[in-house]
Amino acid sequence: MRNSIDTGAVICSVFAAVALFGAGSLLALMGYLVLKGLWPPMRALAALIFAHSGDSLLSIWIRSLFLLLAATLLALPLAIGTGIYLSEYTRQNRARELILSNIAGLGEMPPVVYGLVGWGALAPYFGEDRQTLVIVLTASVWLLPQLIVAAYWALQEIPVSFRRDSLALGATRWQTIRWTLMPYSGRLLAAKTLEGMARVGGEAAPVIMVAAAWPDSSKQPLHILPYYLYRSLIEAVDPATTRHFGAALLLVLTSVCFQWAALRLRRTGVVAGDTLPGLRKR
Amino acid sequence: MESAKEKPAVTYLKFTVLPEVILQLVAAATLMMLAAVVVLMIKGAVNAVITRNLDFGLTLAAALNSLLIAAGAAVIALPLSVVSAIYINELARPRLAEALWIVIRGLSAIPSVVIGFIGILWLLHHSRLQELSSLTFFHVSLFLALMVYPSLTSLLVEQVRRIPTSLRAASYSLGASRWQTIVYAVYPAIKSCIAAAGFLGVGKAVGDTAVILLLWHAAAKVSPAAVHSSRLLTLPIAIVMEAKLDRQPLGIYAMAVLLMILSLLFSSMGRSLMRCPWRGQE
Repeated sequence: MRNSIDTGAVICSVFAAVALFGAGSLLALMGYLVLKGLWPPMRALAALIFAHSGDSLLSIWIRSLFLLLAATLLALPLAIGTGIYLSEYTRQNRARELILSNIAGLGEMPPVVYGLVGWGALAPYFGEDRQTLVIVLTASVWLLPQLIVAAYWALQEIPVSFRRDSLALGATRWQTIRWTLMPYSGRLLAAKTLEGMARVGGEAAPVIMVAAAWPDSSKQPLHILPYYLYRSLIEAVDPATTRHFGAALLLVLTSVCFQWAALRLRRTGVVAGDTLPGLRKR
Repeated sequence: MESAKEKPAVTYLKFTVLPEVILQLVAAATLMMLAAVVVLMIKGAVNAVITRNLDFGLTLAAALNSLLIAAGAAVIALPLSVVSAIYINELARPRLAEALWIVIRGLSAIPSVVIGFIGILWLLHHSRLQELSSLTFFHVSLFLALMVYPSLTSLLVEQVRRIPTSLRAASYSLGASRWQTIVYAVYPAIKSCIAAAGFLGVGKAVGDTAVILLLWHAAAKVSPAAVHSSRLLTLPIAIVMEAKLDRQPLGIYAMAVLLMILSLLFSSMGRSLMRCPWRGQE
């Protein structure tokens, strides 16, 4: 009777299907309601954030921070997935080394190259109206290789004994990653992510390239702080104005604060190095 | 009887999507995206060469300018950062070293637009405005060196810190003074790292856009005619200038590929020289 259908399993799956359908449809309805209710204020907020005009330095700064955050959030899940896959599921051989060194090389590419991706591939596709989206996507493509390398090395920093112990306790591979490796690699990954954000957020070159896709457009992406500084420096007769100094100051402050936060997260001082970040506190 | 024994008492269905599958998909998608970036560049470059849309003279001149300016920047910045790294690690008191380390880490995040801004201010203040078109390699290299110096220094500091204490202890126990230890024990130990830092610095300076672009525009405002044969025409500048033209210039991809190759060359040379002989002894 081994090949007979398991009645218990069939009943169970029918019940599960019904329950899932009911719960799912109800959830979808609720979600629809919530979205319908929240959409107009969200639209208004988005319009405020993505608007092309508006010239107070503070609003420009907040907008560019927000766009940087969006780019990071876009790139981070992909990068973490790829980093985990490369680090934990592939064998350590020449192919992996080749892939990794290529990704690292891509991460160190000059920013103009990524700007060219935005200019040549993304800008014609998305069109002039979605310039902001093009800029965000360009930044996230630039962040991607950096974050992959960061996630990979954050996992590699964890000693092999962690993995062995977890597997010896009967955890599956994924459970090992989720409950043993991820909690200890988060700190280093966050640090390197912040470093990448400091680099990407201050760089004007990709935005210059994206803006060059529409040279005589009245809609220049002046809501990005580095591009704003660049553009107004070019157009200004006298570069030494308070506005330029303010913009430069905000740029420097943002990047340096990101970098210092990363430094604190890493806890690498000259005096006391820490090879395994995150272990000390737990 | 036997089948009853094998069967578990309760049958239930597990709705699990294997995380491995998701990870594989994510990794494949991400790697393909990165490959698409490279393919886009190479396709464009091949197209440009095949259809003879490429201004070979301009490209080569731009590449040569880039290399010369970047090499100048590395030559200016490297001795400074070697001295600073040795000072921070060997000579300064721990608290001062810590403070200097934090400051230099923060400085390495300064965006290049801001350096360009400083460059414009300095030039306007110190030189005769009429002679901006006679801007030499030296001026540009100076500002690029300003940009490259903190990251080179922090890189070298990390390398010097890797040197095992036993090396210094052996030197001291042989009766060497502090100075002799630095010259005969520490300096030879980081020689290859210094070369590596030089290459990485050139690789970083080759791709810089915003500094030179801002100086270029400042020069163009004074004498538009003199600029086109200028020494400031580096590869990134040429890319940005071509991108602003209305037609779809293909030569831009060839320049970008050249830039990518240069940057990859320098960074991979730097990384291969960076291999520390005492990694395992830490």
